[in-house]
Amino acid sequence: MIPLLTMMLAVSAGCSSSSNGNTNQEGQGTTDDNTKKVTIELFNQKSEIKDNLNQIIKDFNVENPNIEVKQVQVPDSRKVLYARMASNDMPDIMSIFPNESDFRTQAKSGYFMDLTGSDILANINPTFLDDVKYEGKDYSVPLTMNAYGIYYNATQFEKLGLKVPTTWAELEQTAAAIKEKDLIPFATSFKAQWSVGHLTETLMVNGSGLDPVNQFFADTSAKAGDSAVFQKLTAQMEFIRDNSQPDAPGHDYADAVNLFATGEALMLPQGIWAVPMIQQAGMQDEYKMFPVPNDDGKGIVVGGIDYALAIAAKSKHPEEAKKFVKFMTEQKTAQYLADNEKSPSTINGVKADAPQTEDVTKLLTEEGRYYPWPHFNWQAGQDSNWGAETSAYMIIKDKKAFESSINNEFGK
Amino acid sequence: MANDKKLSGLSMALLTAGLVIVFLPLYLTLITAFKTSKESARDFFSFPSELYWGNFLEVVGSNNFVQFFMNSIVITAVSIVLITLIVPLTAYAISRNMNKWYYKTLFVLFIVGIIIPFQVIMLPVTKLMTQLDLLNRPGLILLYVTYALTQGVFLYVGYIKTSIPKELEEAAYVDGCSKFRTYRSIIFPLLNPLTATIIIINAFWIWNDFLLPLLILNKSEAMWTLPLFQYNFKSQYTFNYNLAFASFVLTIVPIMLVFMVFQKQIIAGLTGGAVKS
Amino acid sequence: MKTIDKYSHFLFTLPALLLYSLFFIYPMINGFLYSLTDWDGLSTDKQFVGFTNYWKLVQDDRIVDSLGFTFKYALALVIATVILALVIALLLNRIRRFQSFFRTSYFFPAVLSMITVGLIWNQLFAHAIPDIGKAIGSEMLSRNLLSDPNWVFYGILFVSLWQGLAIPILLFLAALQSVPKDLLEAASLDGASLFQRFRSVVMPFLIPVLNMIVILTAKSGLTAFDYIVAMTGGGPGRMTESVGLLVYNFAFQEFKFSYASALAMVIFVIIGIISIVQIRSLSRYEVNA
Repeated sequence: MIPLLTMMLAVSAGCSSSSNGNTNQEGQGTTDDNTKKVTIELFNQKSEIKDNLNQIIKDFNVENPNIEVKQVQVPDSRKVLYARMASNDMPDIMSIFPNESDFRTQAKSGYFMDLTGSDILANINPTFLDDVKYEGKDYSVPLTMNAYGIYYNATQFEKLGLKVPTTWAELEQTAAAIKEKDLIPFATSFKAQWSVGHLTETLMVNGSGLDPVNQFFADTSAKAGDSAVFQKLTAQMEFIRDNSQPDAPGHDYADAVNLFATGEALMLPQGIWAVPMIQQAGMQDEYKMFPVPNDDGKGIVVGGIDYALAIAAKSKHPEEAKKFVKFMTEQKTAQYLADNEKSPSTINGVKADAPQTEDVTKLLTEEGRYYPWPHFNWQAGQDSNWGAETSAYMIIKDKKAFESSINNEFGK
Repeated sequence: MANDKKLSGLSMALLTAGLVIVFLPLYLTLITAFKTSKESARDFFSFPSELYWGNFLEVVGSNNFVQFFMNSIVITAVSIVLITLIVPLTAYAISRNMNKWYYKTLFVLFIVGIIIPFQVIMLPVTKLMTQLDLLNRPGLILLYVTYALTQGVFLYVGYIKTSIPKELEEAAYVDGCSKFRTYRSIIFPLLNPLTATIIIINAFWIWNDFLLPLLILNKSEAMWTLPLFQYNFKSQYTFNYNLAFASFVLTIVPIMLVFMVFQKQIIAGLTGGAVKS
Repeated sequence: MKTIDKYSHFLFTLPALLLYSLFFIYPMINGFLYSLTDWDGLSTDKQFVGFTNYWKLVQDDRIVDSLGFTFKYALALVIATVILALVIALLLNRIRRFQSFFRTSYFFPAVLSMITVGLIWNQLFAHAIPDIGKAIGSEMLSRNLLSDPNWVFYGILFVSLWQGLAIPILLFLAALQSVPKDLLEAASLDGASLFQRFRSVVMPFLIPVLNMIVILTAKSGLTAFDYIVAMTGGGPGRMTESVGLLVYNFAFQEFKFSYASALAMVIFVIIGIISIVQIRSLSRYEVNA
């Protein structure tokens, strides 16, 4: 019995080490002999750029043939990375979300290498670095940005004689005009909780300003319903809901994108990350993006760091890991990424050529027009709870329940 | 007799109606797999205007599909062999010693384990597997064997209690057989009907499981199983339905073939353990 | 040899004991210890806080809602599974031709993975069913039922049944076919009605499989996770947040690991009690029948 058991295990263990020989054995070698190949793990959390990263790794290997970078990319990556951290089994390099509160907790607990003053950060625009410092120190290397706005079908806008709205009142007029032509003003997806969360955070910052919004969430003494911020938000949410497709409560992200791509809906409030999806859905008309307009007639952009890397404090191969991350920040690499992935780069002198979104992304570097997502100040998980609560309000339309769930969530 | 015929006809009609519900999703999976994203965006429900093979080519071409497939097979097969070795043996010992506290406690512990959501122990298990350096296929197999114990022991104990008389083995002891010999040559063969049931239930579970492989095999794509690969078409900002559905078809087809070839044995095996003859 | 044989029953249980202690009981104990701390799952330091987490649990509406949903769902699933699987098995047992074709077809959903089934049905609820609803002019069906607070429960239940009925149907059918023909004939000669025949002749043959079906279905209902993740993510709002999903969200999304562990312990105790009661009452019934 027992010998048989061990035999079976030996068999299965044997097959695992043969096809997978370099995961542990070489990765844990302690001597960094020059002639010996070193393997470092790159844990990537953005599946969209998997192929681009592999190309970058190839280019990196031309200069550094002795460093093998193994890219790992899994479904549900954030939870997987968290489980690995909790188990003390961190990848050498990982993509992380440096604006979020879980990153700050991890940085506080010493999981990441302190890169303050390192030449790795030399090429990065300092404004973006300031946003993600933790207690004045740099634990992350931000590489690209995301931004939120409203896509519009430029071809149809021109055909129907519609102007790009610059104030909230104009947006209301535009929506009414589209409705009159029996078309749908907004393609939205209330079933995708995260997408309602993004939309409503943007509406709040745009409608009331970032500081009042932050205060709204931080002030535990005042009930949500008494706040002007909350009233304005719900009014704008109702406006969006009334001007969305009737099926919006049952629609997912991809459904909203399809509706926009097929020309049935003329506006799509979404982040710049939606461009590949719109393309994939076969968008024929020309489309662009405008900033969410507000009463001042000056739209703003809400966004944050999209792709960023960090190095494990306990990496067995810190020098090699640094070398690769440094390579990622070089202009040549960043330009390659920008050309293929189209997100605005944080690297000095690198420009992403993305005409569809440029009217919004150019505001990222404009004084007083760019604001970070409000949930960056919240506790971990509150952003997804906010998504669940705002999505419920869009679907169930129960304002009282919405208000009390916000009171609960933020300890009001 | 005429009444019987009418009942049979009515049953047939109802069952045929039910088949529509069974097969509609499969039909839609198939047609979506053969459409381009653009065509799906226009109309989800219609038949593809032409058979588009690109989704399948992309799924197979860009990934280690064969490797994932082999991993799934090896992990399922080895787990099943170990389950078949360990579970009935344990259950047999328990069912013959129910009056002793050790066996009784063990039995209760297994039963309690049946209905506990795995999420409850998920993080401590992950931590433990890391400490033991078992974040690999053998580690995953050990977990499957462990979690198959709960339900398996419960079913076997019930079966042995009602179907295997004690007199059988007492006769064997008189003949001088050791307890293990008795188990192996007399008891285990008698358990075959239930063993077939256990094998089938566990094989489907292990073949299709998602959460355990995600936690245990995430370090290298070379270790992935099919469900991990399928789920990877969905990320927060994208979901390529056409590719995902093509991957569903590719994983459904082999299991469908296995099922069609062995359906008699599978169905007989599945029911054999539950029905006393 | 003889001395070894004396302990051999104990040796039989040894591999299982080792595996179970290491990979189930030890993590459970660990989970309990974490539940007495304030550990968030990430920080390097944690403090002992006693039963604070348990007190907080009692006051958390989300947990009450989630437990309510899960038990309601498991109960509905067990009842619907037993009734529908029995009806379909009776129908299958009736027909004279194509029996094996129908039997195979109804079994087929069992071979698919839950995640796959969930993702496929998610699409059908979003597109196919509304299309059908519009075609037949039914307003109710024209919407995505998974986003409708009144229908989402039944939507998920329906999908669980679509797949979950497969094995129970087969089990019931096999049990029905194990009823000796002459017993049935004798009963009908005695003038017993269809229902009487079913209750007194067929029923005793169904009890053992019924036991198995109830256990298997209760397990899948109480541990519901995959379908919900694939179809609603717990929504709309939190209407379909099962306890499995809630523990997962607390631990991995909101980084309240010790709190999640406390919840896990409470679920463990509640479900443990229920399952022991259920198994006891069912097995008593079996002996009496």
